[in-house]
Parts: sequence; structure tokens; C-alpha cells
Amino acid sequence: MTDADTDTATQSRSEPRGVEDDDTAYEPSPDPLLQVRDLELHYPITKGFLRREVGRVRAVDGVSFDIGRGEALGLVGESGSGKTTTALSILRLEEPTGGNVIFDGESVRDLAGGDLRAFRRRAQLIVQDPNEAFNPRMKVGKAVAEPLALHGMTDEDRRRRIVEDLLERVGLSANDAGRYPHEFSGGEKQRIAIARALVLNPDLIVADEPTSALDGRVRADILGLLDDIRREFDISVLFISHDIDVVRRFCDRVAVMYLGEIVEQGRIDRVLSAPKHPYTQVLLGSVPSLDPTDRTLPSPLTDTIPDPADPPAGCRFHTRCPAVIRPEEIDLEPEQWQRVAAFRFTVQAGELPESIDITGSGPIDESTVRDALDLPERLPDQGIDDGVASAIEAIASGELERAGEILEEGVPTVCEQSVPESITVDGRTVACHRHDETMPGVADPEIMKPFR
Amino acid sequence: MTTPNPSTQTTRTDSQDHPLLAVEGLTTHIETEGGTIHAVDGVSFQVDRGETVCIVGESGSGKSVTCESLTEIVPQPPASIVDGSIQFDGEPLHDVDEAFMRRIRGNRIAHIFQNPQQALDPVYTVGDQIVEAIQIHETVPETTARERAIDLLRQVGIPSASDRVDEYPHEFSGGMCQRVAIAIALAADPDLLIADEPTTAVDVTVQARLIEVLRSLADGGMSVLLITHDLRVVAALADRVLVMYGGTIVERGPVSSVFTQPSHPYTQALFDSYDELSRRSDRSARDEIPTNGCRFRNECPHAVDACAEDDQPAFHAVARGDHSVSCVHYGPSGDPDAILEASRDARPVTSAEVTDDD
Amino acid sequence: MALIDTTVMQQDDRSSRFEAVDWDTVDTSTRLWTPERVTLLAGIALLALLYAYDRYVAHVYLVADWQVQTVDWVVLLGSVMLVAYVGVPIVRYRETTLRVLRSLFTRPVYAVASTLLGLFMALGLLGTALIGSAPLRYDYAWHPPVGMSIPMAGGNCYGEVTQGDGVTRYCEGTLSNYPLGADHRGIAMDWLVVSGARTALYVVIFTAAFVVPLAFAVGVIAGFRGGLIDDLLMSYVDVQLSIPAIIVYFIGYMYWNPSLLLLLVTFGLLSWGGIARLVRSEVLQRREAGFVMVARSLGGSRAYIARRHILPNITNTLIPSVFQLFALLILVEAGVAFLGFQEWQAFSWGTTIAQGVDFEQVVGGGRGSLIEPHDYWWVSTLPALALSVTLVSFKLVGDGLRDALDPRSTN
Repeated sequence: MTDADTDTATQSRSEPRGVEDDDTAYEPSPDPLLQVRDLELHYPITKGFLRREVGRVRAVDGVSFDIGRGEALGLVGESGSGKTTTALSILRLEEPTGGNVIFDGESVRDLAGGDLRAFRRRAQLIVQDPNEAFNPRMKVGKAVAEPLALHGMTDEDRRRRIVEDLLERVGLSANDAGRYPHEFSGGEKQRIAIARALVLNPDLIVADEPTSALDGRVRADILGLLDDIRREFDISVLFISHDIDVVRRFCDRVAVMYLGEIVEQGRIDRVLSAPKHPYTQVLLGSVPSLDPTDRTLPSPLTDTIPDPADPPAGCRFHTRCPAVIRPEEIDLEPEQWQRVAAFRFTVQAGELPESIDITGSGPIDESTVRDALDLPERLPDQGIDDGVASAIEAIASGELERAGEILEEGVPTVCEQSVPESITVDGRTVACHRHDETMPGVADPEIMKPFR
Repeated sequence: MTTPNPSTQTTRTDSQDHPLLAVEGLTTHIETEGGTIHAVDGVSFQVDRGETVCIVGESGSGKSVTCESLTEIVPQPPASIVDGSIQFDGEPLHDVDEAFMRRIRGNRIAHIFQNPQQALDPVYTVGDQIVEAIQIHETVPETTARERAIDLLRQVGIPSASDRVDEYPHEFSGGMCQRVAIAIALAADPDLLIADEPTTAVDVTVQARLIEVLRSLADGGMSVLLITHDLRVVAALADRVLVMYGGTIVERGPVSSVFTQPSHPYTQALFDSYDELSRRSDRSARDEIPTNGCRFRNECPHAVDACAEDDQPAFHAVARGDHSVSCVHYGPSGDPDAILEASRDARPVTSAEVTDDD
Repeated sequence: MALIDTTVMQQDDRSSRFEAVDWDTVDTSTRLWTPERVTLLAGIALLALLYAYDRYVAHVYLVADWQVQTVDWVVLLGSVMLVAYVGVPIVRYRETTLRVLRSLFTRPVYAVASTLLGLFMALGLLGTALIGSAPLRYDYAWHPPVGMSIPMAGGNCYGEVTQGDGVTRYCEGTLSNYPLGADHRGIAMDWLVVSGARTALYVVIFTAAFVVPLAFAVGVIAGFRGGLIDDLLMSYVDVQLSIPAIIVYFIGYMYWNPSLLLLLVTFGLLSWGGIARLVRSEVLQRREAGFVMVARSLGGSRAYIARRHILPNITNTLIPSVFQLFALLILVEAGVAFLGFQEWQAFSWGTTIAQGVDFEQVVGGGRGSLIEPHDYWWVSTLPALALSVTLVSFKLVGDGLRDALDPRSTN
């Protein structure tokens, strides 16, 4: 790469962060390096010696995004959201069960022979834990040279030259090539991991939580190094992290995953400063503020993360969504609706809200439950009130499952009835019924205030 | 080396005149093949009743060893507690026999750790483990203990506690396991809970719930000594903060004061690492931490010759309350404004500030 | 990514990429002719020639008076494999070898054990070739070792003969002939100990060349593949672990008479299940490790990953258990031989020990006196000593190698 190339790269880099381009919807970059389309990876759940399939874990379920050349995309979500599986499927370390990954115009699935080897050179992986990123029995010089050797460079002197140069570039010394991984600290190992990822001149680096095992200034150092390097060499990065701070600092765009699906995706400045999907709002709100006087921590409707083998129908987040949509015909105050919905989804998850789980102190009666749930003796909506009353009755007689069924029927929401389409709102795509104006129901936006 | 601010002593409104925990000059060494590591090097602090104190620092700063030295759960060898006095509720905790220490550990000082799955025994139900913890503490019938166990589970926010009490640890998620670990720690109704990075291994949404649990304990009057590297967790939980570096405390004070005016160059560097704009790429990949003078001087942008003299500098008051800092620039001959000024550009951006509500 | 052309490279621009590699010019075909493979093929070719020569030209004796039997051919094949895949890498990676040896020899106990093990190997390999074969010389039966004198049993004596009570004559041991004494056939004890070492070495070579690789292969395949293949392989191992090898050996014994090959095959091929299980569990533990994921993302094949990343990392548990297996099979061979179910011409240590503790014997012709096992103690003691020292050495060297191979323990 020439100087001029580098210059234009850094320039074009600094611009997207500005806000001068208004509300134009997010558009996939015109010449993306990586296109992921409806990526799907279902693990079969098998039983018995013959491995009969009895179910599927939908680890990744229809994920689509683009990464432009030189762009860094952050993939965030809780553990179990499928972000790592997505990354591994892109690199063909897991075989996707559906969808397509297009790298530089070619479908990764169809690559073979020399083309596959070229892909393996151009897309590199950095793993999470620096302590297990290296073979403990292999000197780091050899480890960094391994990609070269694996791809057929037999000239040992040339390999050593490249490796020593790289080690110095990532802030270590050429002498370190002769040492074993255990002689380095976590931060140093991650520098070596970066060197190894660079040794084949990649165009894409998939970094799976590269800084989550590090803390404080070392984390900032590694992030800075990675940032310098990707800008200098114009490398695209798929950056997987659960740490919003790190993603905010490093990435150009972010995609938020929940239970195998992307719920919101767009530019960092838009998504992280004004999240539109309730899940993104909950996720961002859960990060404590650095201001000790601001100690509010909003919580989702329920804490139970659904089983990915049996994800909720419709919008997958609706069982935990504080902004779950109230049917127009149900006449409740927003807070009351939220409490009733929380009651329904907690019971349906097979649990009792902790406030009414009063064992040993006699049978559960309706008024204690209503007190505990902060519901009035009579709800203004007759249908809901009847549903809640008979659900409490069922709980009192120990039939939690039946209570769930009653509530499912009595407390409906459009969120569970259809899968939300991805809509472009305010410069990012969101998959949420609240932003779909054709959806019936009331989104009660004021409920979401504490989450922003 | 410590000069407790007399005003803080008198402002305590506690019924007793001594703090719950007072540590003075604690020094712990760890023997390795490469030589002796001064893991904790003369650390003094105190924890009052009902107070949440956070020790914040990076890995290797000695914050965990400090807390493990208090009840001597740090493995000895390779570690050895070479010096220091520890007063717990007015009684010495150093130089006591093992039996006494065991009573303290189980009953009055409880520990929880980063990885809760390791703290729980996989072959017993969580109920059995809490009941066991209760019955070590006091002789109560099985049924009473079981009811208490369910109460404790509910107290730490586990739904359907009466059903889940009979489940095994592997049936709980990481965050739920941490709650169970807290419930076990609470079983003996301790005076002090030492929590070592309790939220590091869990997701932010789970962390938020655990923070609420810990906060409700503190509100209930329990003293908490929290160890973390995450300034955000500190901001969410602490009453007072101790910043540790290289086995010594470099800054201490009320959380509001430390977070509005981080004063030690190291504390400032820690806050910088949260800042979007700062980049410290000039920092060398390896640094030796000296064992005398100011431990931070090799990495300090403001280091002067005086930093290498004697031991870790004395504490000097910075601002209001008992906010003080161990740095020569805050001494009689120093110029603290220069340091505070230098960091002002890089004030931490809180998530509230970057949020533009639409 | 556009590759840097040489003019840009010459500007030595820090912001340019470190060094461009034109991958189209780099030979990406995997190398077919590794030194290991060349050695293996050359060895097998040589062996084939020898076999043909033995079959069609030499007939009875291959060299000198060595009658090569099936078991010898099998062990020779095993040796070729070991030379190719253990010997050649040892020479190729001299630095590593030297580092491991250095750290092995820093602990005196491992140094002594390694030296003794080296001596055992040398004796087993070269011993019989150097001291030739031993004729039966019954007239020198129970000739005493140097410094001992016992009632003469065979009628002949190299040392001084002294007259005892009645007809008993005492024979004095000599240094020049029978320095370690002789057994009841007049075969020198030094020759017997060396022959026993050779038999034991046969066991080790067979195990190392055939049993251990089989265990590794099964363990790695089961661990890597998982699923049905894993289930099948591990169920087979379970079944195999429940078959007592000694009964299989006895059944074979009834058909083919005692034979070292039969013993090696039955015990060797029924004893690898434990190691296979161990390898499998270690592979399962490590196949998700970061460095394995990275190697896979670089396009490393399963075989490459197993060889380069898995095997070197499971030596901590495997080296000791492999050496334990060597020791166990040597002991089993000696035990079976001790019970008398081994061909005596193999001169196993077990056979010799058994003969050394045999019932009391009448010596000196018709009027002879009684001689009891404790009178000729060296016949049992010397091979027993050799056996024990060998077993302990194997055990210790296994532990020593485990430590020496771990870079974390050497620093």
C-alpha cells in the first residue's frame, strides 16, 4: 500500500463519524468486502444411539449484515446470543445450515482448493482468551510464523524476518520470538495474537472479544494498537464484544444480537447514542454510569433468557420487553400493563415473581398477589382482570402451567403474533413492532424513558 | 505512613468508637521462582459499619491478595503475610490461631469470588449448601434452616425460590450461581462481605441485577468490601474508593470526590482508559514496578526525582472530606494544580453525557 | 489486497506493509518428501531386500547364526518406523532434543534413570550381536560368579577346585570366564541378562511402534470426529477393556505353542484402550482451545492440528502413561515367561528367574549331593535385578520426560 492509499483510507475513515449527513437511511456500503445474508446455524438436538433429531438450537437464525472495506463492525449481545457462532460460521469453522456469506464477491461456501486457501489467508481470527490463544509448547516466533508455514512459505529466514519485524511493530522486541507464551503477560500475548493475525496481510480480521480478558489501561492499549493497525492497513474488522464501551471506541457500525437474530444495526453514533430497539435500550441502560450520583439501572420485564431451542414466537424479545405493545382494546395504564405483562411472562417461564413466592406462609390468596404485583383490586379492563384473577386462582392451587395458559390467552400482544420486519428508522435498521406504523396497538413510549 | 484525617474519625456516627475493619500496614509477599513479589506492600484502610468500600486497580495491583490476606485465605505458601495489623470489630485478626480464624471466616466475614460455579459444590443442591452454611453458624432444626435458605434465595432475587432450592448448581446460569454464592455468604449473617470481582464474569444485564442485590445488602446495613477493576461498578456501588497500584494504595476518598476529581496520575490514567479520545500508545509494553519510592513513577507523565525517594509518598489531602492522594506533587512543595489541569481535558465521558435524548 | 511493488518497499516506509508475499509464487503443494517419509520408505525397502535374501538365498541363517523369525521381522519393521518417526525428528530438531535432554539431566534421579534406560537399550540392541550365541554346556552348570564358591555341580570348573567334605568339591568363580556365573545349562548369566534385555526391548519396540500409535489414532479420531464414530470407537474400547488378555493368550497358546509374537499381539493389542480414552478426553478438552481455532481458521487440516497442536500438549498425561504401558508390558511378558508359558529360547528374564528359583536339584552324578535355589541365587537375582531396574527406570524417565517437555517447568 502506498502513502497515498493510506492517506485516503484514514480520511475516508474519519468522516463517517461526523453527523453532517442527515437522516439518510443506513445503506450497505457500495462495495462491501463481506456480505452476510440470512445466515443460519441450527444445531440439532439428538437423542439415543441413532441420534434421532428431537429439536434444534437456533444459535444463529437469519442474520444479515455487510462490512465495507476498512470498516469495523461491532457485534454485541449477551452470552448465548449467537455472536461467536456467527463469527465462526463466517470463517467456515462451523458449517452454516442456511444463508450465504459472500467475501469479496465470492460465496465462501463454494470456495475450494486454492480459492479457499486464499480466503484463509485473507480472513484472520483473533480469539478471546490470550492465555489459550497460543500453543504453550510452541515458541511465539514459531506461532506467529505458523500462518506463513501453513501456507507454504518454506524459506525459514524469510519467515523469521517477517516475524521479527511484526513483533516490533506491535510493541515487542525481535528477541521475544524465542520465548514461550507463558513468559508473557495477557496484554503482551494479545499483541502477539495481533501480530499473528497480520502476518498474512489479511483484508478481514474477526476479533472475538479480543479485550475482554484484559482490564484498565492494558485494554485501552490493545484497543489502540488494533485501531492503529486496521486504519493503517485498511483492514475490515468484525469485532465481537459484550462491552459497549469498547465497541463505542473501536467500531464504525454496530449490530445488536438477541437470541440468534440481529435486532438493531447502524452507525455507532446513531445506535449507541439513541437506541431504538427496546433490547438495545435495556443493554445500554444496564451499563452503570461513571457518574456516581446516577445509579439508576433499569431492568427488563423478566430476567429469564428464553431457551434458544424454543425461542418465543414473533419478536423474540417480547417476553422481556418493557415496551411490549398493548392491544388497543385493552384499557390499562402503561405501568399497569407492564406489570400484568411481566406477570404473564414470568409465570410462562415457569417461575413465580419473587414478590409473590411466599412459601410456608399459607395458601396464596388473590389480594396478596395483587398487592405484591402492585395491581389494584379491580383492573379497569374486564377481560384482563378476569384473566389475572383466574391465573392467580390456578397458581394458588399449584397449577403454574395452567396459569401460564390462562394468561397467554387473557393478556395478548401483537409482538408475539408476527415476526418484526427490519425497518429503517432514523438512520439504522430496527426489527421492532413499535416502529412499524402499520401495527395495531399502543407502544406506550413513555415507558421507555428510563432506558435512554 | 498513613495519616488518618482526624475530622473523619469524629464524623462517624456509629455507636461504637472503632470501625468494623481497620487494616494497618498490611504487607504480603509471594515467593515465586523469579523472586519475591511484594504483592501487598504496606496497605492501610478501614471499613465502617454499613459502608461499601471499593478497592479498584488493574490485575496485578494486589487488590485480591489484600482481601485474601485479611482472613488468611491466601494460600500460604507461596504467600506469606509478613507485617501489618488487622482489627476486626475492635479485636485483632492477625496472630490468631486457626480455629479462631475459621470462626471469623464462616460467621463474620464472608467471601464471594469472580467465578461462582467454582464456589458451589456440583454434587449438592443449592438448598443443601445454604442449609449447611446456616447450620455451621448456629444449631437450628433442618426445616427452619430450609425455610431460611428459601428466604435467602428470595433475598438475592431468585424467582421460584421454593422450587429452585432443590436444584443443582449446573441448573443455574452464571448470574444465578453468583446469587446463590451470595446467599451462602449471607447464611451466617456476616458483618462484612468481601466480594472479589463478583460481576466480572457475567453479562451487563446480569451485572445490573447483581449490583442491585449488593446495593440492597448495603442498604440493609451490611459492610461490603468490593474488589473490581471496573470503574463503572465502583460508581454504581461504592461509598468510598481505594485505588491500588503495585501493592500500595495511591488514592482514597469518597466516591463522589474521587470520581469528580481523580487526582493521582495513576487514577487519572485509569479514567483515561475509559475515555474515547485518549490513546496511550506511547506506553511501553513492559514496565518494571519499583519496590521503593512511588510505585507508579516509571509510567507517570509527571514523575520527578523526588518520586524515587524513600517509600510510597505520604497521603496528602486533595479536596473535601477525606479524599487524599499518595503523590509528592500534592505535598507542601508540589504543584497539584498542574496535574489536575493536565487531566482536565480527558475527563471521563459518562454514558449519560453521550446520550442525546430525542 | 494489492501487493507492494518493490519500488515502494525500497522506500522503507514504516507505514507500508511489513513484507509483501506473492502467494501465487509460493509453492502451496504440501511437501511429499519429508525426511521422515524418506527414511521410512528406505527402511522398508531395505527390510524387503533382507527378507528376500533370507527367503531365497540365505535360507536358515541371515547373518552369522541369527535365525530370523516372524517376530524378528515384525520388530525390525517396528524399528524402522521408530527410526523414521522418532529418530529422525530427534536429529532434525536437535535444539529441542538438546534442551529436553539438558533439563532431563538436571535432576540427578532422572539422570540416573535415563542412563540406566540408555544402557538397557544399548544392551538389548547390540548385546547379543556383540557376545554372540551361547552354547549349552551342561558340564559348567551353576558355575559360580567371581568371588563365590559352591559345591561343584557340572563336573567342570574354570576356577580353583577345592575338596570339601566327602565327595563334595567346591568350584571357585573366575573373572575371565562366567564372571556373573551360569545357569543350569551352563549358559553365562551375562549372556542371559543381555538376552532378557533384548526380549524386553522387543516388547518396548512393538508397543511403541504399533500399540501406542493405534491408541493415539483411535483417541484423536474419536475426540475430533465425535458423534457416531466416537460412540462406536469408545464402545469398542469398553468391550476390549473387559477382555482379559491372558485368556486370549492361553487360547492362542493351545493352537500355536508359546510364542513371543503371540504374546505381544494379544497383550499389546488388548492394552491400548486406556491410553486411547485418555487421548480422546484430552483432545476433547483442547479442540475448542483458541490456538486450535486459529489453526483451523488458517486452513490447518485435522491431521496437522492433531500432530502440531494437540499431541505436544497432551504429553503431560500421555508420556507417563505410555512409559507406564512399556513397563507394564515388560512385566507381563516376564510374568507369563515366569509361569512357563513363554518359549524358553527367548531367554526372557522371567524364564531365567523361574529357573533360578526352581526346586532343589541333585547334582554330581548318581551319588550326588543336593543343591538348593539359594545356593545358585545369582540365576534368579541378576535377571530380577535387571527387570526391577528397567521398570523403575521406565517409570522415572516417563516422569522426567513429562517435566522436561513442558517449557513452563524448565524456566
